[in-house]
Amino acid sequence: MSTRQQAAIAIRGLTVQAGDKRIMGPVDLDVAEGEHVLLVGPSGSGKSTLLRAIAGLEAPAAGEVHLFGRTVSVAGGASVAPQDREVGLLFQGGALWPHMTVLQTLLFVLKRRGVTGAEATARAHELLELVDLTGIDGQKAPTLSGGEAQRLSLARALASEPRILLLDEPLGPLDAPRRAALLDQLSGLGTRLGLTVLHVTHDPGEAERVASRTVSISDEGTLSAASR
Amino acid sequence: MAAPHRCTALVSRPLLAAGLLGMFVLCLLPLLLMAERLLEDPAAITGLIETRTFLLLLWTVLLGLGAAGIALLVGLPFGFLVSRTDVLGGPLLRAVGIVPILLPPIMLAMTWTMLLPLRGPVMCALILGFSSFPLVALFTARAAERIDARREEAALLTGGLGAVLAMELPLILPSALGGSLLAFVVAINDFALPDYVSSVGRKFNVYAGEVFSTWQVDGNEARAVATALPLLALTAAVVLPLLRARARRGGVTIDASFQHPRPLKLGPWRAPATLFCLAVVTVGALLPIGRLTYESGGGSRVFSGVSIRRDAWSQGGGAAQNTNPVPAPTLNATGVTDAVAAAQAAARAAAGGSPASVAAPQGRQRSVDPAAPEVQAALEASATDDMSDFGGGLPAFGRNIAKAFARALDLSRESLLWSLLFALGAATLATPLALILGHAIARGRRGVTLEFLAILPLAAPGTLFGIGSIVLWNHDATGAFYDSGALVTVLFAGRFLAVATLICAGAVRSFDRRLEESAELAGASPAGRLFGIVTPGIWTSLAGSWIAVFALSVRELDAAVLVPAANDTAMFRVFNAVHFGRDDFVSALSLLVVFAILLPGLLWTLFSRRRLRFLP
Repeated sequence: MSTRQQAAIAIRGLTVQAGDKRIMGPVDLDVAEGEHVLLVGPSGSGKSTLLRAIAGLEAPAAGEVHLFGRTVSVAGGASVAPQDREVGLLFQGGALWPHMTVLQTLLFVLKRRGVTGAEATARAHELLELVDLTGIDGQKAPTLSGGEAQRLSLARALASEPRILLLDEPLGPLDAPRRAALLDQLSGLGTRLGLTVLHVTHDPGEAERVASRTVSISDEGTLSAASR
Repeated sequence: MAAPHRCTALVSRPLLAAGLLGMFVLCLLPLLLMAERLLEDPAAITGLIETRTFLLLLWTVLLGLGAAGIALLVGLPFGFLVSRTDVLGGPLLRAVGIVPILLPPIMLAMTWTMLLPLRGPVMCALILGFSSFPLVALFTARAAERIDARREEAALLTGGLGAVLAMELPLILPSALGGSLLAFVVAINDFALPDYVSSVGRKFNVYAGEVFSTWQVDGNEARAVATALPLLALTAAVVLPLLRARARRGGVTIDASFQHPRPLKLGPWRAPATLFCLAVVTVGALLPIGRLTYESGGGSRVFSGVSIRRDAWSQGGGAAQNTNPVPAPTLNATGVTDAVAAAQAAARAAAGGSPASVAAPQGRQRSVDPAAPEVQAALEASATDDMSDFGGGLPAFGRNIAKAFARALDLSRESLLWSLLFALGAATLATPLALILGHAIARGRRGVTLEFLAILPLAAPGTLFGIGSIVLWNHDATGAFYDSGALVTVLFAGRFLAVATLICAGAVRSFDRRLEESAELAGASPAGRLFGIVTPGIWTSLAGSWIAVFALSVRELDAAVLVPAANDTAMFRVFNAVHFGRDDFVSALSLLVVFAILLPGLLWTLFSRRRLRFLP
């Protein structure tokens, strides 16, 4: 079996452009199944763009993306739709839907997975328990605290049963104690659910203890080193 | 988000005082005078309590609901598709999609009544719905563009396009419903369109026409106000909750971290969606303009002496039509005069025995001038038996168009010039006032109250506002002003100041108040901040205000039809002419009016790189 087939994420020569301007790449990266990889780099280097390209939200100008041996993006070619990639993405700031309650948010996702009725409600409560967010089912997203919003965002990402979890600065808006708590939770969940995690941050110090290895992305948007 | 309480005011008091004074004179005084007439004669209200009035109101509400429903059905998908998806030619379709609200509904009716067998209230609702769908589309587009890209992408990851639509619909629907409620308000207050549709089909009355004919019959202002009260109440019941909701939302949904969503890829739905949008703009804008062009080039004429009866009705009072129909005369100048005289006499008789010799105390009764361009054109056309010149191919078509436009310009040059001047004056008068008032609404402590006052002239039926202006200015001391074009400018500015003010208030709400506060800390005066910081920041909205008032003034009919000085506008000529018949003169004049309405927007599109903003 080749490296590409073994890797949960295999990226080859991936470049993303906005018009004529290159905003990331070319990037080559392999992440093994179950790994928690930290992606660090300065602001504007293309860290988030890389996650979005893996999720199928950005089309590559060059290169390919393979997930679990399946080619999901090829420059100029057909690509697998984002919802069919088995990928969950924790957006910067949570990106919660403001008109939905905590429970409605999860039911919305579960319905898209074909889970409805009592089964969906039970599954939603399981997810809320998993992320330590019980007792606030009826609250709307804008009323949640920063930590609660991030945990709901995590539960939403997990509701679609992804095999790969992409974290885009998940600790950004939180204070120090909450950052540590959420980080432990993310790490624990990743291990427990057997997820492959690609974790973007501009502050490697806070997350190094839970990561398998750290990869740096340069100002020019190319991966330059793997620190461990 | 409610604005936090401030220790100092962001609003300049002298400027606000000037703005309030302007609003009072232009907008509120005509309505206050009308209210005062009602207080003098409260018994006029008792006339309302009769089955006929209730039924008329019920039918008008149903007409409004029909129009609002059509506007929602068309405007919601159209607004979403052109603003948020990859439909082919989206930006162009979006721009052309504004045109139907700018076209006078009567021009849509001129085409649609030719192409569809429908008549009566159903046709009216269809035309008013299509005419006002851009309101829904504008509100929908704004709401859809304010959904953060990451929220949309989160939905996309969970279930593709279907999930995105399911997530976004509840966020967009309130705005779209707001737009359709405004379409309802426009529909229930419209008088000219039902009048025209009645003239080409079976007769039906609407409530706004009742206000007009109540006053036309004997000039009883108290009864006209009393008649307008239910419409005012309905409009207030719709507009007030909208204003409150708008104030609650605050309009500041876009902050520094906001990420604009990208166009959604429709995949296999792209072609049908593009066709839908194309069909909407074709039916709402291209077809009416195309049909008028075809008629100007010698396409089949619709010319009928029967329509003279409708004209007699509109000049003599609707009551005449109900009680003592005037037989259709043959079309000649004597017939015109006789029909009008008969209708007026019948109207007076129907109104309860007002002496035939007593003219309306304030408003001058219009009389048909056989030398009026539209009457001349109609008489000329009636003298020929040529029903269609469209047999000579493209060269003949070109020649006919040139001839029709030359004739329209020859006969109505002055009317067109007056229309442009009145609109120019109204827009230029209203825009600075709107800036001051809009800023006060967005930043002041009593914004909602001020906004409600500002919107009153638009909420009142145009006919009532017109009557109020006559009552206000038709005195010996102001006679010169009353007879001049200045009154028309003031009338249009007062009627449409509300539109400009709402546009400006929305723009200021979405303008970061910290920019004003930092200028305040730097020592800038309130006026300095308004003109030095806010104005440059919202100038595209100010241009939008100016253009909106200009376009609405060129197409205004409901208030203009009552004021003698406004009887010289090109739109009034078209309104009169279509009652005599349809020929190349009417079509060419209509196209010239359309061109005048669209001119500023076209110039902006050609020479400015910035997008014109009607909504922030």
